[in-house]
Amino acid sequence: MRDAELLSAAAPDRARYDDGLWPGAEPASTLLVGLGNLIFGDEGVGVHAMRRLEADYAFAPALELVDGGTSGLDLLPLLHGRERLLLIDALASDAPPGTIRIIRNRAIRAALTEKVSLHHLGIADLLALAELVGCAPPEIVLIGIVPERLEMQLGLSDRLRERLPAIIATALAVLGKWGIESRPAPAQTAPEIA
Amino acid sequence: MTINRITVDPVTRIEGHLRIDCDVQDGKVVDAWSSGQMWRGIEVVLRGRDPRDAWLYTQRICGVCTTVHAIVSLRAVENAINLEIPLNAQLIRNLIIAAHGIHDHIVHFYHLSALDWVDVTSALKADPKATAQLAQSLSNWPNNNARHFADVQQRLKKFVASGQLGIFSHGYWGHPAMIMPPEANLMAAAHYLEALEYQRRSNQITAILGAKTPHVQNLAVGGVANAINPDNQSALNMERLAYVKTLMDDLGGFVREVYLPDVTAIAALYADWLPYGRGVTNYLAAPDFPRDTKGTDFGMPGGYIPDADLSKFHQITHFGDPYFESNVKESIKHSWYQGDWTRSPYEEDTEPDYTDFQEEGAYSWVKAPSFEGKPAQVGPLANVLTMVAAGHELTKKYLKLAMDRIGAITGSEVPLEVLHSTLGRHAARCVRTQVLYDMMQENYAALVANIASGDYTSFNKPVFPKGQQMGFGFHEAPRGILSHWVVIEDGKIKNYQAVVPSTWNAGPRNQDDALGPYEASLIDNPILEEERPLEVLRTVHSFDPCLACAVHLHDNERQTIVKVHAA
Repeated sequence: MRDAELLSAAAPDRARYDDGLWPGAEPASTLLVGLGNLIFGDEGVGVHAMRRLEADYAFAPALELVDGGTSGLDLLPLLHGRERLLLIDALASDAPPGTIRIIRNRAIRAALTEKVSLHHLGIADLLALAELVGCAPPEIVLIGIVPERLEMQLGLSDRLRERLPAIIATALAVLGKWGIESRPAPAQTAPEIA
Repeated sequence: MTINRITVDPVTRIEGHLRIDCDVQDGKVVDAWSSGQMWRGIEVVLRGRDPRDAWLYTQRICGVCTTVHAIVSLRAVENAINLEIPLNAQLIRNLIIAAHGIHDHIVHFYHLSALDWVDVTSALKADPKATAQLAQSLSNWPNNNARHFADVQQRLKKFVASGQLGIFSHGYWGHPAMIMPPEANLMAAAHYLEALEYQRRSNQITAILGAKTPHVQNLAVGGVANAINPDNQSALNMERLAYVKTLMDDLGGFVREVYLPDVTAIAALYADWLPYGRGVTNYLAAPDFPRDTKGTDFGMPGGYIPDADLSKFHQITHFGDPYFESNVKESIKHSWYQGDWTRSPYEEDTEPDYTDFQEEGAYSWVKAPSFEGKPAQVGPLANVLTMVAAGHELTKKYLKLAMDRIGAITGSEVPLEVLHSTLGRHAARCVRTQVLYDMMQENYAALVANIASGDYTSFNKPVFPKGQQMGFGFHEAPRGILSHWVVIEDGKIKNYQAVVPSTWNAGPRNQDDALGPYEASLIDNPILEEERPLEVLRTVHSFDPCLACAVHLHDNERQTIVKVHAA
């Protein structure tokens, strides 16, 4: 995938005007959000994984995939009406780089509530607010990946690039448990990730 | 008397990582240091790339200010190759700027800074009926009724009882500097929740025009990528534009009936705080909302005011104005970079040289910008003051409205002088939001009229000649003037610098050791409890800090630190 393509919508024809926000549009009951900063090395692993899922697979029933970037509160409108939410993000931890952790529901917030997110309103805050205003999806899973290299650059480290198939498999397994089947998308839409 | 050092690291409820050190003597701040703790070097990523793609990268600098870095990047590249853009493109960009700005200001006030003034635990003790009476005395907002306030109070009680304070866990509850009555606290807490719904509407406007949110996809060097066709289902058509109008009108109601009444009421209830937070009073703001294809006529004027003297206002008149270009410099005397220089952004390099925190030497990753050789405060206060100095009628009207409302509650007329303060920055921000709302309506009407006249063009193809071109773009972003500076050689980026609003405000001491705006604004702030320096947060948050590095890793290990020690 060219760098500029990675930063824009993977497939231009998928860029929608409404993103489920159009009045009367029925949002897919499951939302997958890839989080992270694409120009900060492994910080962007969540978006890399989300792009790969978007390009390589078709899902049934429908799944909405969103590149959340480094947004926090901006994602709140996307949570309305969802039954399940899958987040993929980099996770700070003493565990070795490439470690994949699955954190569920309240544990996501519990793990983060007393800590300080590095951006102004983190995902923990987003989930707390969603609960307060009554739009929190009943089921939330965070797939956290421990990064190796955090610096101003576009690509992933070798270690995390090697781990991408395992991250994808983890995401597909979570979705499978939720009754969402995945099959490989037609080959021509599958770009390589640099 | 002894001097104690307070270190707040990191400052919470902001984007990025900021450390503030204050020396406190006799309950007052006597010296201060602002230290950006993250390194941002966008030029490292952009060097050698296609200038047409630069905006896609810059929009990833920060999770809050995505669209502003995209738009200013286009303006910089277009300025370098002297490219005009079609009127439709200008107007669509303006609509996105307005929707984003209104959204950002509402979020800043309610979700990032209101908790410095509003005590949520006190709201639990309020009488919903008395709260309704208070709220109805301030505005006609339909949700200002006892039933709604009782419902919000119940939700808050349940939330607090669950023991997971989340969003509220960093508040200094019960702090003696929190002086509002329970009813005012409940009213503000209810509006805090309602603001989330209006944030959603402004997002929808951006989603419709920008094809996608959080990261818009409709921009291009030379214009916008929106296909405009009133009759085509998949283009930007009349149905979509009509929906944008509905969303805009809703947003206006919230700004007029909730945001402005809340800010002015809180400012009046905290009238004792009006003298604090003055700081640097050289003000710099960009003109914005271009009405023509070239950027010579602006809906919101801008320029420079030295020493709080509006009669010395110098206007910035057009995109590419050499008055702006030649007067912006950055210094690294107190920053963690190699060398000691003061340079134009075109000529900067970025060679890190970290030395640890040295209060006499280098202590920040942020460079120190200056205008005409001096530090300048940027942001909504600078924007409002420069517009008043330029004789902008809309701004004067809304500023008078805000000042009259504050005066009506305090019982005496409030002089404009109080604007140079912590609360003045909040008041200016809500005045600016009102002006932004009118700008959004103006640009919407102009866009619809231009399309109705049969003009569907939205893109002029850029051409990059051989050799070197230099250009800059500016934009009056929610946190203040943002400029990007680009050097292009043979169609590739050779150098790229972003001078961001928080660099102006959070900058360390400059080449002449003059304090940056955060630092200067903290001097003389009262500190009631050194272990809980709420007052420091009030003043720093009033600038709407955004350290713009957007590392947002889930962090299980970092703890909030407020260190106090005798120096």
